[in-house]
Amino acid sequence: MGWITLISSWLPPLLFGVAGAAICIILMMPGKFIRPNNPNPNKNIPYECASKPTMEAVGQRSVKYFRYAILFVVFDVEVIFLYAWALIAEEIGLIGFIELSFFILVLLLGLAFAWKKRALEWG
Amino acid sequence: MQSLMLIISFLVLISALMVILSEDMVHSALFLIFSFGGVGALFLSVGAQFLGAIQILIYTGAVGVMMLLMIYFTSKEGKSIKREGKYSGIVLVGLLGFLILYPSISITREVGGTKGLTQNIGRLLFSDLLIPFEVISIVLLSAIIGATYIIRREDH
Repeated sequence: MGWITLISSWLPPLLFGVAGAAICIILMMPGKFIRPNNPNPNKNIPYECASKPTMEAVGQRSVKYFRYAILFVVFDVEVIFLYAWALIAEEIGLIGFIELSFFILVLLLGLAFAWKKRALEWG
Repeated sequence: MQSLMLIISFLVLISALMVILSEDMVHSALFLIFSFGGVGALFLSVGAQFLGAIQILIYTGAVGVMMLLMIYFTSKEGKSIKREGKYSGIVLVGLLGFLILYPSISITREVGGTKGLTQNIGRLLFSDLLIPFEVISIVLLSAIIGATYIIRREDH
């Protein structure tokens, strides 16, 4: 009983996963049989427009990327709350809309601030 | 449901242990992302839809990317590290494991129900928990401002 309800309630995500894996395998397998197989150490180096790499691929990069990561996380969290609102939007009506608008307005202030401080530019 | 929770808990614990034990920081980050995903699956398996979605979208998605970016910013010397706090880390994973495994073993009744549905969380957020909800936006605003200033300091 427990296992049957368990499997039936998890069937859609299970099918999703199995279908996803199956599509990957089905797409990869024909190539494996058709393509010529000539291993060469040069084929294992990172692709650098056909010239030899001058340094290791892993190294220190500019911290400026962090800005985009933080902004991404912030607006990702915002979108999560939009889902919670969207499902009950009709039920709570205008008041809920105003509450959510205030939430978004505060974040828009942050976006405007970041924009004004030129945080969205690469320079 | 209990057996599913146990399987997922073990996967989470093993990947958490691998975060500490693996020599390469990138591997650690990938194991961390895997354990985030496992915690998300744990939430989903007890019917906490919204928490599960948050865990997967924000932790495995955004925070995982942040972790990888952190490694990207550090110099190459830091990338494979001699772990000095390995044993205390294992103890920490053990404690964490107890915290995760104890509820999943001791739950005797069927968990789930409708409390964790996104609609119900939404109803709570927009009525009783309205002020904490609006405070979240201010916390996020401070994150934006902090990020803007931290990175600008480097420019000058």
